[in-house]
Amino acid sequence: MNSVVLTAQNLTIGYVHSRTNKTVIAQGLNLELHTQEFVCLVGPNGVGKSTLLRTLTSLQPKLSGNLLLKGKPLEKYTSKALAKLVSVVLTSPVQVGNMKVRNLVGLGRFPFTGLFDSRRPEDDSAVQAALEMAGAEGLAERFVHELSDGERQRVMIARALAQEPLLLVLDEPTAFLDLPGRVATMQLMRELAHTHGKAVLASTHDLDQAMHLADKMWLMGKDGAILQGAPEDLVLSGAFGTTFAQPHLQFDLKTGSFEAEIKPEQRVVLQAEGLADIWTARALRRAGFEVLVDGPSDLPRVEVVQKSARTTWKLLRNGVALEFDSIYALLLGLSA
Amino acid sequence: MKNPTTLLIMGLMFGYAASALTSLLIYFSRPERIQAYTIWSYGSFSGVTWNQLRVMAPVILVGLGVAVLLTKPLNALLLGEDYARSMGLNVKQARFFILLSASLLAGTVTAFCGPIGFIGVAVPHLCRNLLRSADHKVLIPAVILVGAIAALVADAIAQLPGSQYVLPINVVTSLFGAPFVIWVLIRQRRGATSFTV
Repeated sequence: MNSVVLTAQNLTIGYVHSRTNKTVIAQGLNLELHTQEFVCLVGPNGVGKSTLLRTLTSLQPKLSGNLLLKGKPLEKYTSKALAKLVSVVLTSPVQVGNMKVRNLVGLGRFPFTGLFDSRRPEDDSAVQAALEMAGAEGLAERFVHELSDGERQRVMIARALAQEPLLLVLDEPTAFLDLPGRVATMQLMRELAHTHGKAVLASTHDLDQAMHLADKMWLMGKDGAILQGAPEDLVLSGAFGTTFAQPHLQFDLKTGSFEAEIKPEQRVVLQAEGLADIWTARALRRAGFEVLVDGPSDLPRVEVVQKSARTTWKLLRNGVALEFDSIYALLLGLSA
Repeated sequence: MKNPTTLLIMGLMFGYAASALTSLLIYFSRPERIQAYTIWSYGSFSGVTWNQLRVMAPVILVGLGVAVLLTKPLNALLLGEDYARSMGLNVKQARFFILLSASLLAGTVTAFCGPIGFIGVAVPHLCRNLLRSADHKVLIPAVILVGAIAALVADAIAQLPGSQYVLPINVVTSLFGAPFVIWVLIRQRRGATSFTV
């Protein structure tokens, strides 16, 4: 069922400049990728995530160590045999004009066709299957340059799937997308692993999404070391907070998300219920207030009144009562 | 070379170096050779003799043959070198044969007919836009045909029907080609078509 696709043993990655001069980015990496598993590679900018992905897909040579694909060293594969097992979606957006989506996805059949690239029926059906798997079948007859960023990313994933790979490697596939596009792309990658049995490895900066959807996370730190585990493991062990540690940025261990640190300067008492309570409290905190449920009567007091679908915010300060019809107006009133 | 600006400046520098070399050669040449060179530099199809064709035609055919064989690699390269490599293309080898084919074709024609500008730049873009395709299976035969037709039309115009004058063919291709390339660039800026460089 769940079998090992790629193994890295004591792997060193980096760049070779000349015979004597090379830059090591990370060393001693021991990694494994399995079928039916969606792994997210996360880490701050510039730690070498792309270098790792390029090395694992043989776009760039390793410096030392072993890389085994299905138990056989990566360098023993011919480039065509490798292309039938591993395919990639790269981070830079492709710009290609006058090309229909179906033709672009068809490029993925490159390792399967002969010298003159003539297509057999199984090539066409593989392209169709890839389009369907990526949820891009409705785009097939459109031109690539007319697509939105999210649609284009779907198409690039479909192209990678047309190679019928066992391992799919994506370098920041959500980088240029809006929020719904990012969620959809992450869900698609998870589905490719779980429903279609691929091993999927993606680097991403979308910690929230990765934490919700990844089966496993590779957390790459500034020293190049990689911590592995379920996202929750990395949160509990505190690895998350330390890797991304920065002044004025706090990792909230309860919600698993990062929050900008705002030092409260004043205090306010808030009386409200339900969603209005949550969001009003949030706004007050952002405005630099420590929010209390109860407190001495000399503190300003905010009361949320909900009457027949209309919400108003009452502010009681120094014996003066004011009423506002939005949080924005309330914050303006508080700062006055 | 990833930066197009670097490539552009490199091209300009090579151009300067080559033209300096040409100037040097002209400076030390006899006047009648200079005149022959000047006439050659205007470009002409009528100066090619049957004897010369016996050399030119086979070399051109080899260049075209290589180009046709490059259909599949060229398609793979549409998405850039990294994607091509990830699909199993030997990029170094492909690049060598692409340069070989281009050099054979452009070099041979220039040697026998003089430097004929703009056909090489304009025709491939014209074909891409006319056929609305980026597939080299279609584009390579189309470019061969449309390129030949464009060259013949330019030659027909250069002969100035009804007059004893013959214009340099380079003048004709540049007069039509330069506005065309500008038009393509403007269209590209508007996003109506985008094509790879």
